[in-house]
Amino acid sequence: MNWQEALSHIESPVFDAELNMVSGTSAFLRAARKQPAVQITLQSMRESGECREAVFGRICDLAMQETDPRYENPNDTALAILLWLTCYTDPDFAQLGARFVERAPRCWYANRLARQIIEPPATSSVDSGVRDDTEFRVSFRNSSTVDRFSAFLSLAEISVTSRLGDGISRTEASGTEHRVSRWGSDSRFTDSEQAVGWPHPVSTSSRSSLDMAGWFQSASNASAAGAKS
Amino acid sequence: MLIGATPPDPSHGLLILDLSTKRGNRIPNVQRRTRPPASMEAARDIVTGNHPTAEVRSLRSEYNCVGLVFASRRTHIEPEHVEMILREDGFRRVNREEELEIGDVVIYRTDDREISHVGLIAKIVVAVERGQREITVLSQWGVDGEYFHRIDDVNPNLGRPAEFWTDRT
Repeated sequence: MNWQEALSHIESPVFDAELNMVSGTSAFLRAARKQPAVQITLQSMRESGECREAVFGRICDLAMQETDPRYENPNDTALAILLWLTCYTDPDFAQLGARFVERAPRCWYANRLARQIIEPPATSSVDSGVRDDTEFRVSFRNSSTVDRFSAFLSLAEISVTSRLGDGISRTEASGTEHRVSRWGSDSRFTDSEQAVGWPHPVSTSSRSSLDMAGWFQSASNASAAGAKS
Repeated sequence: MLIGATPPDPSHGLLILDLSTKRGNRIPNVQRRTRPPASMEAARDIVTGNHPTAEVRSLRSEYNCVGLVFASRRTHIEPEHVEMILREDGFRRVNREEELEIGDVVIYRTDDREISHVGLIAKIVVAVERGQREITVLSQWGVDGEYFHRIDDVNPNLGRPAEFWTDRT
């Protein structure tokens, strides 16, 4: 299975059903961790900017998709997992993606994860990385991602500024680079860069409700082991 | 157990029930939305395809396994609250399988001893020739539907049957 197939599987009803067979967020993430499609996607996101960009694009698309208002959002599981993977392959994308996912209607796990990324509880082991008065830059090679991202910026600019008052205050487009003021840390990821590890402090002494600590820790260890070899 | 209702959570439109143990301590819960029929049908196909003893009772998603057992299928309760409910609702441990009766509770745990699933004992058949009891459980598999199934025939992510509890006097 390549990462494109893995991504497709993560969005499938079968994957959704398999992960919703458990109760509770920590069990949900534990079950996700065992899924080959998740492992393949994570590995590819670590190695390929193209894959990270594709995942972010899918988060945008799925969050924006219209769904039947009578039911829970059928993209909930995929959004949650893709956002979760983005958390420790690209924290800036995760911050941005979380704001879009938070507004995706009628989600269960995805909304919870998004809220925790945006506003981690005091006891959380995960630092959101959000700093006021800093800049966030992302560069895309793929023009279709740029188009989707631009559409989202327009959407977010309206809803975030009206609701929070301090969301995106300014957006600029220059070629394929977009700058968003007051969001995230000042970092930049491009296709040519190698995947980076999770840059924020991770403590295993306290556990967030999303139970990310162990997963991040093992991911960091795996990354460190890979770097040594 | 006491059940009432509070207005829907204004930020997410989810209903939270006023639910408490017999001692009066609140049980955190939230009623999950109905999942799309296609998702439930996919779930049913996976469960019945992979677990030969599983028979569908119903395909609803507003509650989970804990909600089935301790809140009459009304809402979703995280497994982390099960031990408090058992303690405060006066359940006692059943140490021997021979003492089990229909309606007792089976707790499933993961390898690291976390509660991962709960169900109700639905049928007990003594297989005399094999000298064994065949126990059928009724449980809600996450939000993938409610099934009758052999006690040990569950998805690996639901853990293994670890202990039994009853509120019988």
